Amino acid sequence: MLARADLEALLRDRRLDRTLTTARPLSDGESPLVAATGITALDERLGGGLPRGELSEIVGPPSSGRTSVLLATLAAATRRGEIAAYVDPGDALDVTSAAAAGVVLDRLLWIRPGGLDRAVKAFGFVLEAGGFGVAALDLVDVPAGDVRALPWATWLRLERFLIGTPTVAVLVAGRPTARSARGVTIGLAPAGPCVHGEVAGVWRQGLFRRLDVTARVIQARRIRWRDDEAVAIALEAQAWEA
Amino acid sequence: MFACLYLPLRLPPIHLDAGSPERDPLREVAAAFSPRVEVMSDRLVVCDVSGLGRLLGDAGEIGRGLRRAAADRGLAAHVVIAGTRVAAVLMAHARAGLTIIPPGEESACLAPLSLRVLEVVPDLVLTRITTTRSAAPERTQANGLSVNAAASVVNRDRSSAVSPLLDTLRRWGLKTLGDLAALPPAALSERLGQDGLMWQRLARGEDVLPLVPTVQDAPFEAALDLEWPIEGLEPLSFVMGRLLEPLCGRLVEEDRAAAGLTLTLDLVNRASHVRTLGLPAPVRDPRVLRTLVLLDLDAHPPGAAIDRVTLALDPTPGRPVQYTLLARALPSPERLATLLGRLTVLVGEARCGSPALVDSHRPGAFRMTPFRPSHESRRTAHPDPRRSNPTPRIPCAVRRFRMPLPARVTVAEGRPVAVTVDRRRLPSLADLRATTRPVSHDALPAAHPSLPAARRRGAPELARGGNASDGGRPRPAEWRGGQVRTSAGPWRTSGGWWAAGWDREEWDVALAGGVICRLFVDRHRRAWFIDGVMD
Repeated sequence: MLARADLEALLRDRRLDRTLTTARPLSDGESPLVAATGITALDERLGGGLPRGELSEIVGPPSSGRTSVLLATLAAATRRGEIAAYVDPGDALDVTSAAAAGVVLDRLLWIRPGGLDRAVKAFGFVLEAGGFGVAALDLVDVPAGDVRALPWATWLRLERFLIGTPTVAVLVAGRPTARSARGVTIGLAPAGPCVHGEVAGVWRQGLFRRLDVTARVIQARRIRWRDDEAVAIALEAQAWEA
Repeated sequence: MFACLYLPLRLPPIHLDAGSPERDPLREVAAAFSPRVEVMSDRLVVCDVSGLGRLLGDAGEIGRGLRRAAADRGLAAHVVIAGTRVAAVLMAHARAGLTIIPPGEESACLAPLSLRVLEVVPDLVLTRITTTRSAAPERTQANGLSVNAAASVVNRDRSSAVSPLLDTLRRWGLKTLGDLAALPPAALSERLGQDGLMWQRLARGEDVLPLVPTVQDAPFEAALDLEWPIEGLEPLSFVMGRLLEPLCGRLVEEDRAAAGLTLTLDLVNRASHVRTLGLPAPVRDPRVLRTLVLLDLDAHPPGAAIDRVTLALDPTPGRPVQYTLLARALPSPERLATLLGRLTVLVGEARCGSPALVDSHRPGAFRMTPFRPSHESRRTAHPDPRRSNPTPRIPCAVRRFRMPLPARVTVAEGRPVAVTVDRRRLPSLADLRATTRPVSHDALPAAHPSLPAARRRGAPELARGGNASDGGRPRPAEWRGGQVRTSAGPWRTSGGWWAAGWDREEWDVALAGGVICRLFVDRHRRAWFIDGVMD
């Protein structure tokens, strides 16, 4: 038996929600359609999830949980029955990690262009085709200079493909790159001050157990964040195979 | 009036070449006399010869004409002309040569035939009943016989349906069709039910089904000889549109769709360039088909100018699809096929698809599969873990270097203490692009020559940063080495000794600056590599 909220979400997805009498008015900064990331604390901070029809980004330094958050988002989308696309110019996807995160692999379209230009073009093809719940472009392994050299109109053109669609477009990068007006930036960082000498992650009994990160959500009307708005996320390391 | 042509099993089988135009010679013979031909098997056809009297004469003339036509093709067929279809088929199995049954005398002519003829004929006579009436609502024919009774006769296994009946009739002392036809219908119905009445009608030569002509499927093919050779995709696009429009129109009229497509290009150098496309879903839109063909030719160009274009579609019956409100909408098959075609041209077929795990302990093993999402119930196949656990575990992912980075590692007391990327041994861009093979990485990349053994304790090499694409050799943009603060390991893993195996010791290390990465040392080559970064 479907929950009422699920049924309403399905009707909105089909654009049949005009007769809904329970649709609550939009609140400040909230998008009418969101896609949950699968991380409860982060979804609460995002107001339900990443906004659909918008370009958002997940940024942070190495070992800050960017790929983990992205895979959780892809897993949540594929478990909802949506299909997802992952444009991976660095060919960095670990299929085992994706399966462990819960990604339904046969609903994931993995594109490995091998170059930034092809990656952006492939991303455009995916957004233009439509029908994907989440489309991600991974720019982590692309030099920052090459990304900055892209014309700004590139992102505008990609945003135009998203207008009115239920697709969540996500960029993953080391630093903020681009997002649409109603998109969000999820800034990730290792938990606690990680200066020279500090060890990231939790190590117990000689094993790497957990990576604690914090996520801060940057939206159009919230360009400054406060420490109490950070979301703590614990990423469990996979056990070694016996 | 019906004519039946039958080739008995004792005669040699019909051998035909695959390219022979007469794949069905009996049908060809019958089709020469009547447009309404029902092909029951490769040895039995029935045609409607009503109205041929004005052209050919009486039934005898028609029959002799059929026998001559069959003999001209080397077929010694039994020919029967009768007023009913069943009578013609039954008599053709019993008597050789030409037999004429006057209209109205079917029962009398069939009476002397043995009951054994019922063993052979019923499948062929009642075959259509099974395919069309298995779910039909209960209807009654004009003669009061239930239509579904006919279905019930052959919905069961046919041999098991006839043999018990014949055994019963023989026990009763019946030997001929005339004996069966003479039984009182009421008593027969009481003992054998509707089945018995059906067989009695057959014994009397009464039709239970009309003749349904077999319509030969016209192939969905089109060809065009070009006035002058063309090169390039743009002029070919117009030719493809001209060929596809009428073909797709026929598909729509016949409620079919193209499940596959074969394009044959005859080139000026007398070679043929043949491309076969298997479509992920049946398509009948000419624009989609043209786009897919052009995308495929873009990836596999013909190599010479084109003289002739031949296009053949593989039709499949239209299938109504009931979408559901309870599952997420997927892109239409046409859009998905077009997207995959464009991506294949852009990145290559092997670098686009769905990942899949392989049953292997090799680190990072995977394979690529075609992307074919299906409508599955998300609740039954992939339940949301948050329903059972409000705070599900979020696993930490690894960003893997598909070609592990060679590293310089300083080892002290058997543990790594400093790590840097060995930029001199980085693979070149050509090496990276050459590694298009996606599937289960069975060997370390050959671009990494063996390194000297890791330095023992001494002055550790300072972390190097700087431009990520030194000298045109790309490396992950963010990677920086550093001092090791914490390490866990080693964990030894090996396998694939029968082929290009692996034997290595893996370490998880945390570097100064917060990066957690996975190192391994290849025990054969005594070289260190960086496998990935926890992210």
